[in-house]
Amino acid sequence: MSASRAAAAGREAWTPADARDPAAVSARLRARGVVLEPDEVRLLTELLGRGPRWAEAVLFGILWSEHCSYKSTRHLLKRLPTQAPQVVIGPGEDAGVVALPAPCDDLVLVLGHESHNHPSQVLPVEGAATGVGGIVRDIVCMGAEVVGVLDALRFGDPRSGVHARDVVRGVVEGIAGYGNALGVPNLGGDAVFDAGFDTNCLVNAMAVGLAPADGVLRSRVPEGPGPWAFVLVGKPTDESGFGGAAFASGELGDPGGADPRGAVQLPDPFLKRVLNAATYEAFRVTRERQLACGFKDLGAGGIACATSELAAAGGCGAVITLESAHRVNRELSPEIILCAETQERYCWVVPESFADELCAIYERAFALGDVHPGAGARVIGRAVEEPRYTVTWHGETLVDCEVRAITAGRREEREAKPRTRRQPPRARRRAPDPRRALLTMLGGLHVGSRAYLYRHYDGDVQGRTWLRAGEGDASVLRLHAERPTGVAFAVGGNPFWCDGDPELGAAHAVAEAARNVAVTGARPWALTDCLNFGHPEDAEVMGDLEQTLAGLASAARALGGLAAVGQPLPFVSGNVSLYNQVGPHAIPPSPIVMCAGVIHDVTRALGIGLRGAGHVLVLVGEPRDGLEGSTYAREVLRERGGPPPPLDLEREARLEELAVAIAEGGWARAAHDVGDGGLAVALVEMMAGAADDATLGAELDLEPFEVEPAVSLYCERPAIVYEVPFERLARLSQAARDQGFVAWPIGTVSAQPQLRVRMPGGETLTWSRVELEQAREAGLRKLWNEEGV
Amino acid sequence: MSAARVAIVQFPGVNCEAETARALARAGLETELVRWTRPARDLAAFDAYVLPGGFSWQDRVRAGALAAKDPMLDELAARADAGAPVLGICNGAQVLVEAGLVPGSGNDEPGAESRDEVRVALARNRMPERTGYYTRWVWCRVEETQCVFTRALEPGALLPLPVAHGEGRFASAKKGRVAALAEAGQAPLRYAHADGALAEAFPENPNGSDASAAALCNARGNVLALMPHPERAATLGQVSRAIGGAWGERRDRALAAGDGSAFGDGPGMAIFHALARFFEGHV
Amino acid sequence: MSAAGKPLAQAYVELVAEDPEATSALAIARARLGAGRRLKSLRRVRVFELAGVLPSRAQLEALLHRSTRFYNPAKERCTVRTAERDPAPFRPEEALVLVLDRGLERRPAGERWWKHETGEKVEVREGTVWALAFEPGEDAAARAGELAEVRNRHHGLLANPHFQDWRPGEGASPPWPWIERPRKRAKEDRP
Repeated sequence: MSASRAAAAGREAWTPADARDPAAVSARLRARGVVLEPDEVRLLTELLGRGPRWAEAVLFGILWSEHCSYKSTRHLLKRLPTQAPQVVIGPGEDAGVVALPAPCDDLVLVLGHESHNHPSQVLPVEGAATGVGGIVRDIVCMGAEVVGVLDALRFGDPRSGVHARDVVRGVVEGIAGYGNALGVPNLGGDAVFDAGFDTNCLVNAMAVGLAPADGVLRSRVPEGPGPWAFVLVGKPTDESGFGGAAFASGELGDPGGADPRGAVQLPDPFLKRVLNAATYEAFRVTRERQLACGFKDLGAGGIACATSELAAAGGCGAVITLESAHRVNRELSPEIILCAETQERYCWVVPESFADELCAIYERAFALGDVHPGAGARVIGRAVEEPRYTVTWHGETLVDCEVRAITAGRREEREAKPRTRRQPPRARRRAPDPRRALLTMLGGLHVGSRAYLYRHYDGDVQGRTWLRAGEGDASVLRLHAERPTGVAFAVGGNPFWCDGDPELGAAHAVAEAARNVAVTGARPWALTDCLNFGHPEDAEVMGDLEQTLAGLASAARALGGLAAVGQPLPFVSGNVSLYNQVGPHAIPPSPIVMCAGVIHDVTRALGIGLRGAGHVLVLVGEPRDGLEGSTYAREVLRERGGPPPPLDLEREARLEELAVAIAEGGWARAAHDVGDGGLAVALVEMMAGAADDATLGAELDLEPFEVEPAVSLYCERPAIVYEVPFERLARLSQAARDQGFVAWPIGTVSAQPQLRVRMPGGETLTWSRVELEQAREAGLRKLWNEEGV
Repeated sequence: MSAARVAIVQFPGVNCEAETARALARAGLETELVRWTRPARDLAAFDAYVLPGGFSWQDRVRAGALAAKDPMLDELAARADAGAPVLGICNGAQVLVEAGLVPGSGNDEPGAESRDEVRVALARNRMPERTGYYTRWVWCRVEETQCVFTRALEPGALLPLPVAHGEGRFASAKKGRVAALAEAGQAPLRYAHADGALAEAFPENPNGSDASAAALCNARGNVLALMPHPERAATLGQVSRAIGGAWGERRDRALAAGDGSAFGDGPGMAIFHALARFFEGHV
Repeated sequence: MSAAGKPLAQAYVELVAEDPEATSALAIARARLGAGRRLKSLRRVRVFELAGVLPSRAQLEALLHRSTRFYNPAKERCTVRTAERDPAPFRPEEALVLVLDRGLERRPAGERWWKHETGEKVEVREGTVWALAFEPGEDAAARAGELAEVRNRHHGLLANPHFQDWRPGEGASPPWPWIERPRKRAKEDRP
């Protein structure tokens, strides 16, 4: 490394005198790819009491970016309930941690939720893969082994152009390619298609881990005198995140001839798999010897963010000797090595006496260097008592500041105002053909089968999977080979509803995720969320965000009783993704919620597939009353906008309690939430979930509904369909009455592979299972294969 | 009698080692994970070998191609010659095929070349309107065979097992070779319909495999290359709810009973119990 | 012109960054295979062959660039040949091995995309080219041939003849056409 480069990184980026015109400094920095707002320029000058060095400007530019500090939203996030007895670690760390009930109380569940939206729009395969890779790191750095991933996807209208379809294929390939190779089962999620995401797809990745209850690692230098060593493990640092020409130009980077390799983050699930295996071995050894440790993943801000935050959280300082970090065999300037976003790296803080042994696990027992050239483990610094964070490069100081400067989060007040909602257009007058209406909806992308996509994903690896994507309203894992306890996961968030009414839509997102978990028989235990929105400078976007938080909070406060009576369902991890906007149109407000549930005995978990002819079909829930927000209204009546169905949270809590009681009592054989597409689609999905060789169908009688047939078939107000053996019907009905619901027998499971509906007045409509399946499967298969688009 | 010791051979990128170890332990076998960084000669001390699924060397060049060149495969070939059972699951099967251990020289073609000759391939799946990786639970029919891992099972019995791969199609440049191997009892499991008829077409034959072969073994029957994942079907209650037939009925009955019987053995355990029984007879 | 007399184009796609696949293959070939002892470098290049009514070279490049069905411009570079005399991204001393998945060379999805974008029916085929350079004094073509076809654990690496075909080429002038070629019956039935 040339001395001149080190000098560039160590040189002052601006002087205190320059800072008197912060706008000019900010503009000059921006031209070099360093984003610091004018008031941040002033603040940084004050914090340091001098002009910052270039390396410091780069570091704080990243630390204070929206991505790292949530500066527009941090105060808003405080409105969400985060406390409940089962919470071990709430939001604030890389992932949340919740306790589990006996006999699994020696384990804790670790939950994380991240977005990788913009990169996935630009580079779908790598963007989505990096999203999975990032959230997996967040789980591992809590000391956990990763046992599942989920993904919530929002795509544009595939008819809008080939890029929209390439995004779908690329994102699915990216998730499959990364997750399958990593050996983490995909537990499902959801996918929605809407023109509102044409220029901004959403890729939310969620991951789940298990750790020993006494083995959770924190991202901080442990207490005690140490001495503590910082050990960087994984891929050799490269220029990831610094590929832009802006940064490379000028005195900091290589003048001209910028190496384009830095432009793309290349996710490497193969290296990650071996890195994680080595890390699990390191977990085992450190626990066995009861060594205090700190552990953190490297994301945005790279070595600088990870090491400074480890020190800050431990209430101490750190000295990093940057030249000790392993890196690619190319000349890189030190501030790039310090802040690059190179994937597949972690940072340990361990007793100095253990550091060599730790390095040997990575470098010898798992031979990381054979798996990826240059990968390994190196001691890169030590903790110091004085709360100062110092980075040196061959003896020259690059960063020198008080630790509290690094943790000084910034808050940016954004104006918020409620959006004026469009009035929904009047409904079409002529009633559509009811038989064709169902096939139209099934053949559309909103309620069609997702199997074409999820058959790319490995849902069974690790051998814990009990209910897979498509088999239940939530996916279920058995936690331990000798214990009955399981965990269930489901995702909620309907962008059409959130667009119509952000507060109510957000409440529905929580209710839907929790209900799906409860329908399988699991108790809603904890939530994670990602708030995907447009530009925060837009007051209406901020208005949507505030209303969304109100909706999430009210639903979470109402639905925690199944884990702890009288307590909220806590948000334990979350993420905010802003700037999902190109031009004047922001994406629809898109809170995406994951609910984790706990089931005491996985053998009680209810799937959606019909099990036996002669069983009674029973509907429990809100009355069939209105088509507001329904898929039928959008896709058959061609109405857009308008509010979602109403949601009575107090009744919702009782419905979920009932659902868990029914599953635990073993009174039903199958259960399915009435969701997108209403009762008719729910029954079609229950038929599709039957065994492949079974010839089962459903007979439905609309006479008792006493509403227009379209309403009984397609209303999307919360409800659950159960398949109940006749002899259990009385028990189930009594349980429903106890919770203030009526259990309506609406039909039976038949031995004919068809859906048969008796309309009021006696006319019957019949769809064959084959016909329904063909319609459900067509949409995504055609999209993928460029047929008829 | 001390339990037989099974080496779980792991190349980098292999990711099914933990559940494979659990399934072997459930069958009463003692296991040890042997990573690629250990010397190949360490393998000599074991009684049997399992190569689990995953992506050895990230499927670089071709699934299984690089691991097949590892010195450990020479050691495994020698142990197989001595009669030790060797099971390759999914990626492990791809490694055994690329290394020439399966099908080996065979009684299907008397006078064939050396035992090491690569005589078949696990080729890219052939699926209508799809490419790449594909996952699904499929039916596998037990065939009349001398294979150590299935010979105790009733020929014609059906095992529901999950497949998850992009390259699982048994193929050979020599026309009819896979069918001849099947004829000779070297395809101990073949893809079938729920009624037991051989499955020729997608999705019941999920990859277009010749002769509907889901697995091939060597002539002696002690080395098996198996594409489905028995270790993921170790428990009855976890059998996919899309599976009907006798196993589906058994699963549904156990789940409805709510008495813990759903935690009993799933269809995949047959393979691991067979290995345990092999040692009960031999050790 | 293609074998069937249609206009032809070849697009060679190579990773911009170091290719781990080629790195690993090189290491294994050197360490474990006799024919690979003196292998100096190994590169992997994907090749598409398009046959049919094709637009101008510039339009062709733009179309390939647009869909990730062909390549990803952010991590790969693409060299287009529209005539045999056009340069290919190989060095003259490199021996080439084209590997094809037998019977799966066609890319129907790419063809459909092409039809959708241009209205033209074009045949799209894909294969992998390995470019091998040896230490001076080696018979590069002969060694490349030995490394191409797998026979046993100690012989061959790049193609498994039971589902793949391989065809040699020279870096100075790769065959034109290369993928689309009438197949020899005899090759099919090799053991």
